[in-house]
Formats: sequence, structure tokens, C-alpha cells
Amino acid sequence: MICREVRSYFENPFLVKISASGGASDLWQHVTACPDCSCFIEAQKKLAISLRLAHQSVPEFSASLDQAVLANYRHYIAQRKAATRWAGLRNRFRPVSVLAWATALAASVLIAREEMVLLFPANTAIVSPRLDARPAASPASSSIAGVTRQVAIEKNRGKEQTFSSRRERRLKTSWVRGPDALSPAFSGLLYCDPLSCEGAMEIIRVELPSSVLRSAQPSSEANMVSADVLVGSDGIARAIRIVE
Amino acid sequence: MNSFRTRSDSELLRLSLGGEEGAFLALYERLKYPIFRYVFYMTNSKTAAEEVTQELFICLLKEGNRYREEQGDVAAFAFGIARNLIRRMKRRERMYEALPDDETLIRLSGNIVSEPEALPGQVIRQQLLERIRRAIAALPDHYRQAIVLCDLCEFSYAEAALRLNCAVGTIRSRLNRGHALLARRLKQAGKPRAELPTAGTEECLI
Repeated sequence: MICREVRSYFENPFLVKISASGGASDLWQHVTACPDCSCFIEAQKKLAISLRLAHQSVPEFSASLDQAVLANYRHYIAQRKAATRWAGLRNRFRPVSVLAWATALAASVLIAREEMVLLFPANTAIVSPRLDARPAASPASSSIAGVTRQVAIEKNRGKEQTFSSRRERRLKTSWVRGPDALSPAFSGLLYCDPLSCEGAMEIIRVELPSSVLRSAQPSSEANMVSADVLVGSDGIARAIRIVE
Repeated sequence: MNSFRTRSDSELLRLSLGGEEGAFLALYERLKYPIFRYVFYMTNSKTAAEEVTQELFICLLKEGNRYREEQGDVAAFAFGIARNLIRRMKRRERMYEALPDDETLIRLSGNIVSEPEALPGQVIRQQLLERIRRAIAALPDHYRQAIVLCDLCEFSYAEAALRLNCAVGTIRSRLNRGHALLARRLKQAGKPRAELPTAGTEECLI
């Protein structure tokens, strides 16, 4: 056996002690005969002792380290959960999407409002004087006072009404509510063309002697009659209708 | 806790990342001693070992999603992290020169005493141990890793090869050379002061 074989055999220093106790006899004969190999074996023995000593001398694992690691873990998990929750909210309500949704909602509300106005015009009554009625001058009717409710006049722009004209009309008019105000039985008191009849008008409830209105309503037989008079912004009565 | 004992390391890591504290504790119990021993022998400092062990488990949680089971077990992944943390720590502390601690002072005082056999056995043992640790810590990194894993942490050659991501033959050769180098250094360190080459008196007076 040569020295190299001995060295390769004892490359692990921990094997030296084991082999020395029950190893091959020719190996130990060579070791005792060869000074280099005996030095090598001695060095390996010392190394094995040193490593064993180092192996046995590990400091104790402190309990505070366990607690610190556990605390770190809990802190990390709590932090990550909070971050995940916040990220979820942020993803759900991103500023761009919020803006887009708000814009869409506003647009849909506006469109719905326009549609409601266009689809249900019958709910609103526009009182219009009978501009095509024959003029019947009555100086007394111009001095009638007492405002009961306010209506708006609609310009008669013909049968063809475009969307823009309707919209314009909506902006210019206010709506009159109440069944008695919706009666179309107004009779024109004087001639007025569409230009001179423009502007807001008022309905005034008055009581008049039946003789005054005989020309307009010849059928009325009572001494006093109640009538609604349509008065323009200039104070001139434009139309009248008999209520009772 | 008992239900987690039978689970594999990778399962425990996955559950830990999901917030299962029991799984994390089971994984910690499995890894803490090998990691702590490894870092202690690599750094020769208990404080550093504790610091790295603590930091390692934080890194394991943060980087756990990057773990791939087909590339190795969780312990190898953790040892890789520990290795990087040790390197980072040494790089960070390279610029500072450590003050001699109490153990070093004892060792220095032991050198002054003419008859070390007269000292109590505990002190001699402590000196010897310190010398061994210093010799191990002074080894080149690849030799030190092999010695620490195979001789001090009691991993098999195959396990050490897995931890260091190299072949078993590489571990064997590194171990052999590391042993030779360590034995030489221990022999040098064990020599009495008189045998060491010293400068002449006239040179010291300059």
C-alpha cells in the first residue's frame, strides 16, 4: 500500500478513529512504518478532535429569537393582508374607472331626462290663447285685477315642430297644473298676431255681470258669471272663458 | 400543529404564505437549527447567526413565491438565502474593524502565561475552540461551506451538494482540500510564540 492510498482512505478525518480501532492490518503496518503517513494520520486525528469540539460547542438557540421570528411572521401577514385589501379596493375603484363610470352615469341620467320629456308631453298642458279667434274688443276687461296663477304662452309655430323647437319651447314655457286651467274654451277678446302676443300671460278669475259677456257667451242667463281672463304682460286681456 | 408535521416543506411554505401560522411554526422548527448552526459556523458569531436566522425567515416569506419545487427542496432554498445574507453581511462589515471581545482577551492573556497547563481546563478548551473557529472562519468560502455543511452540520455529501447546488464529487474534493488547509492552519496556530518568525528588536524600534 502506498501513501496516496492511505491518504485517500483517510480523507475524512472522522474515519481515522474508527479505522484505527478495527481497520485493516496492512494499512496500519504502513502507517507505523511511514513517517509521512503517521504524521498525516496524527494531523487528521487532531483535526477530527477539533471539528468534534467545534461541533459540540454550538451556542444555545435563544427563545427570544423564536418569539422575534413569530412576531415578524404575524406582522408580515397582517401587513400583507392590509396591502391586499387596499390593492383590491384600489383596483376596483381606480380613478380612471371611477371617472368613466361617473361620466356614463351622468350621461345616462341626462338621456333619461330628455326621453321622459319627449315621451310624456301629454302630462303637461300648455295653455295657448286662441290666436285665430275673432277679435272682440272689450275695454273693461283690460282693467281686471287679481292674479290667480301663472301660465306661459306657447308660440304657434305651425304643425311641424322639430326637436330644437320643442326644446326651445320647453325652456320658454312653464307648465300649468289643474283641470280647470286646462280647459281650451277661451275666446279671443282682441286681435293679436303671434308677434304681439309673445310673452308670459296670466289667468285671472273674475266675476262679471252676464250682460257684459253676452256678446261673447250669449247662452249665459245668470246675473253674475265667473270667468277666467287671460291677461298679457302688457295688462291687456287677450281671451276669456266662462267657468260658471 | 400535529397535522403539519407530516406535510412536506414545500406544502408548509405554501401554507405559511397563505397565512397558516401553524404551518410556519412547523417549517421554522424544521429549519431553524440547521440554519442557525450553518450561519454560526460561517460567521463565528452568535449575534450574526441570530440576526441572519431572523432575517432569513422574513426573506423566505417575501421571496417564497419564487420558490420552485422542481429546482430543489425548501431547505436548499433557505440555505441559498442564508448564504447570500452572510455574504451581504460580510461585505457590509468589511469596512469596520471589530474590537477584541472578551474571548479574545482571554486568549491573549493565555499567550502571556508561560505555562498554559497550569490554567484551568475550561480556559484551555475555550482557547482551543476559539482557535478552531477562527481557523474555520478564515478558510476560503467554498472550502468553509463544505466543511461546515458536512462536518459541523452533519449533512451527507449528497445533501451538501444539493444545498450548494454542485456535484457530489465537487463536495468531496473541496472537503479534502479544506481539511488539509484547516489542519495546516491549526498546526500553525498551535505553535508556541517562540517558534513563529519574529522581527528583530532593531526593526521594532523604528
